[in-house]
Amino acid sequence: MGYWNEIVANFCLPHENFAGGSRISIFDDVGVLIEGHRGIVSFAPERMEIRLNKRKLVLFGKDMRIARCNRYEIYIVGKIGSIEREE
Amino acid sequence: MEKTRIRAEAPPVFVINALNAVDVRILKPVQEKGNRLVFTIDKREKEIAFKTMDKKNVKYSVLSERGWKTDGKRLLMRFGMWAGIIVGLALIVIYSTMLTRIRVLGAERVNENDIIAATGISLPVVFASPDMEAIEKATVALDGIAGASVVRKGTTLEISVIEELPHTEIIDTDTPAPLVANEDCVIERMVVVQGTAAVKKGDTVRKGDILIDAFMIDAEGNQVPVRAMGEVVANVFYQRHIFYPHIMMSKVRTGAKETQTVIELPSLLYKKQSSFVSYDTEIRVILCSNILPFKIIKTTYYETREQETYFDFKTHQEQLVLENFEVLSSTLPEDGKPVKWWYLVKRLDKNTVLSIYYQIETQVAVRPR
Repeated sequence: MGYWNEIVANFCLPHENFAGGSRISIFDDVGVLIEGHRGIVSFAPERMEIRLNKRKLVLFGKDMRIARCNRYEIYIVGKIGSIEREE
Repeated sequence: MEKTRIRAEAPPVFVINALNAVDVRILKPVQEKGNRLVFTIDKREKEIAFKTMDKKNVKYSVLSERGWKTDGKRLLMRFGMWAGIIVGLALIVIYSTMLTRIRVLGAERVNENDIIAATGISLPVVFASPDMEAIEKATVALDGIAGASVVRKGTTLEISVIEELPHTEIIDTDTPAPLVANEDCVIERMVVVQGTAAVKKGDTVRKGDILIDAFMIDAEGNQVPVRAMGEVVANVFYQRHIFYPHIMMSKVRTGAKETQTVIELPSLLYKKQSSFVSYDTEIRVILCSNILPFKIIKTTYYETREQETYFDFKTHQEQLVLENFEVLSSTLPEDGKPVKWWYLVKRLDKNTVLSIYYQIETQVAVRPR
């Protein structure tokens, strides 16, 4: 965590103030919105790999598919089982 | 939003990342077998996407284009559908100009068919513009019609008529006049409403005899003239007499005959007359075929001569009585109530006389002319 991000965390400032990184929002039973991605590594209905700034995000689930994606965000819908981060 | 569905033949992840890198938004990407990706993009980003894929040597093809503009253009190009719509509209327009029915309202005593015939319209009429005034005039000109109005309701011409009032009989109850018999009869019963009875039950009266006199007797014994009114029912006897001679002249065949066969063609018939002076004819028609329009007619002429024959009345009596009873019945007044009928047979020197009698009970009182 950078110096600025430590200040934001310690002073309980709004999350929008965090610098860099990605935001992962999970909508229960609907899907996952990943903001600040760096590209797609692979995608399949049971497993999806999304590249983040320094790590890789791996999603496990069933009937997963990309609803929409652009340079900044990916919206994945389907039954999300678990989310892991890999170095 | 106008959308374009594209199929790209390259590793799906590579295509998505490449397009995302140039800010192309990808919707519903689906990975197909054989390293192919089907996805949707905004139509406005189509050019950038194509350029990027060309640059990356990605083969692609446009599967479909959707959106209200594209759909509208596609709809405009459906000539068959437009032709159908135009034909349908034309039929609706033509149908709306047609007259398919004439409805007559208010006609009870006048025949509806006469009113329809008076319009001079033979249905159905296409592009009909009937002259309402002329139809109204033609309808009013009919007997029994006092007024008419003609209205067109869609494909129906509605003719409302007002009929003339039926002719009513004006009964004169004031002018003094007696009631007389209209038939020879025997009085059965009578009801005098006004006047003085001139006959009683059982009296035999002749046609024209006074039944109810046109006066009344007042308290002082004076005759006061009144109009005779009442009902008189009497027994009227109808009869029919027929003479049957014992010796009758009849035609008998001599045994000589001649035959003639002709083919009857449409509008052409050759027929030779018989050489006999007096003859009977027997005709047989032979149809050659149901299809061919001619038939064969075989005519046989039997020569006859007149011969005196004895007429046995008794053998035919029952049949002759019934036949003549039917003839007599058909001449009787309809309002009469049948009482009884009988017949008498009288055998004379040269003839037999059959007399049939029919008794009916009927109203006989009428006003003298």
